[in-house]
Amino acid sequence: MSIKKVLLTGVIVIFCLSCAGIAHAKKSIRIGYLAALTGPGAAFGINMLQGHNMAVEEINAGGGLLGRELEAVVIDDAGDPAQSVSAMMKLVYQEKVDIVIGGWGSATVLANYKVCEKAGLPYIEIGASNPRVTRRQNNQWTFAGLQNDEKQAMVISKIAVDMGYKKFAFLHDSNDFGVGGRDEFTKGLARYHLKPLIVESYQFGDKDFNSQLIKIRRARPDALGLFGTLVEGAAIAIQMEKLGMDFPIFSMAGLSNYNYIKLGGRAVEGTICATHFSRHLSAETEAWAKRYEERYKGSAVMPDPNTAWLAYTAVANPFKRAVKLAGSIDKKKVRDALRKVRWREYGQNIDNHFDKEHAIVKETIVVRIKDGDYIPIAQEKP
Amino acid sequence: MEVLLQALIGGLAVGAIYGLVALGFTIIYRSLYVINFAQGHVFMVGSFMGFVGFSLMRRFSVAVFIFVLIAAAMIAIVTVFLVYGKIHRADHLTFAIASIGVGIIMENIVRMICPDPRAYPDIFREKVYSVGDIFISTQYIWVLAITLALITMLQLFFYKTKMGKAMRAVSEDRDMASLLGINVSYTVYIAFVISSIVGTMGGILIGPIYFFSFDMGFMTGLKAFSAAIIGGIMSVPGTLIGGIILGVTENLGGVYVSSEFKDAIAFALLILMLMVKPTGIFGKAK
Repeated sequence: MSIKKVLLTGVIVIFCLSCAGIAHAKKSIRIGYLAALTGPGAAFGINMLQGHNMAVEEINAGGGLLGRELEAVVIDDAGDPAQSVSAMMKLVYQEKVDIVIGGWGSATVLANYKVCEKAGLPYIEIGASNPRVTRRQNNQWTFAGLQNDEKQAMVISKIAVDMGYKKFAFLHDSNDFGVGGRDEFTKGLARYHLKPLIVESYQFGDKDFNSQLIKIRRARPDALGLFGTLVEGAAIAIQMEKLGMDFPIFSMAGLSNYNYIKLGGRAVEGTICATHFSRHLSAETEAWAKRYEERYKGSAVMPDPNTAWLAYTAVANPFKRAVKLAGSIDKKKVRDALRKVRWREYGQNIDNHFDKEHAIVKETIVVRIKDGDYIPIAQEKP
Repeated sequence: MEVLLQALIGGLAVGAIYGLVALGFTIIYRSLYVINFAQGHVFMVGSFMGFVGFSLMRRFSVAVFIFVLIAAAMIAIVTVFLVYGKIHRADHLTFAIASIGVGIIMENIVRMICPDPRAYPDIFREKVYSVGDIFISTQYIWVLAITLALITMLQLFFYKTKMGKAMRAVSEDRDMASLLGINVSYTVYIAFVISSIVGTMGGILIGPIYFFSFDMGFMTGLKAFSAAIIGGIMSVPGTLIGGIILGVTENLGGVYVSSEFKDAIAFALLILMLMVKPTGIFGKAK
């Protein structure tokens, strides 16, 4: 065989392989998933990925969407806003996904949504509850798949005041999630003419809260409003116990992941927080939670139905219905369809949809930690 | 008043741990005049091995403890053999960069195995005692007691044992020590082994107080380095006192100045020290 023939054969083979590659790529619908898979947000990100993958598998098992397979493209951003922006750019411009369903951390999402807005790509974010994610001028492409802090705070503050607590101390993360939670809860309390006695803050990733807690203890509150995520939250609960501070903790959904209980142990009993899902709401919720736990039994990070649900529902409900309604995965058509679709999540008593701001409309579920589990104590539309 | 006392107690405990980890910097600097920037990550790896070992046993176990210390020593020996042994005669910058690299490798290996923070098993059988409004946790008492014991042992080692004296000789004048028959490369290994063991002990002591996480080495390493500079990187008791000064300043600063900028206060102290007396409080100007 002459060199020419070898080269020609080689070129033809490579050409055929790339055609096959392109043909394959044309076939699948690519969903980008972006979240913290390492670092302090890892528990959330990994659980959400589990829910995401489970929904993708189930839809594929049922024949896919529009006759095409779903493919999940996963990138870790460590929950860091700067890393997240470049990770999102990779998803959008290199991997060329059809939609992004993911994101964790208000600070992170508030940084990375701009990439999707600029590129004109629908983004159902499932990990940032700061209202600014959707409430802004010219929000064209971003949808909040989880209820924002303003709505959660309305319900939680009402519950706290109804329970008789009046003297609140606030301890919040200085990032967008913590500051947002603090501001919304302040607004919530203001309806009852109440103000926090003392407000202290910390940095995401901090391990020692001694100085803040000593100051809070001096103010003698009867409840603590804690606005931050589960690792710092668990450390705070433990350090509170060591300082003899035994009043309850109220929080948003940042503490509603089972790893908070795993890390905090006995110290977190009695915490009351909002959550997006609970297995105890109905037979359907329990059945789903069991199915999910079976699927991910033995994974390195404990399966957590409360968190995994956020990703599962985003794929299985609004995304699936919007693509069916649009009849295509054209980005604009899917976006327009997302504005119209309605569904009902397991455990909800009202229909769910995205409102004019692209924020989700659903009932807030309030839970209290008792005997190592999140037990629902209230469920209302804010 | 109780606020001040409570802040002091917390500061003493965390300061003792900074001092312990800082000893790792001190011992290596005294022997080799280089900064081992992997020390913070050595502390983290030690904490990780303790976490794995004690979690398996679900409580404190002497056997696990000794096993973890031996593992720490072996990691030090392997690192010297593969990396440091070949470059410790090179200039400081080369060593510093290599040690940063070793630290990054350690951090990422642990990150792959354990990506999220974990609660440490209760190895000290934690109880909280209260005296009026002051609360003292038994973990703090253990930290202080063990740190003092370790410092005493180290001082005895350096001043009363042949090996310790040999290491001090190498630190004074390496070539002369070698001419007098001291096996210098042996002392290099010993320096890294001791520094790995004190870092590991710091990691085991801090585990139950905060959580274990793969990224805990970076900040603690920086603070321990500051502690060594503040107290005097050539002095063992000085380093411990530097740690305590740092821990207490951090806590008091957090209470009376700003909790959000606690870390900034700690590093401001470092910068001040470098400007005013770089050899540290207990350091002798060379």
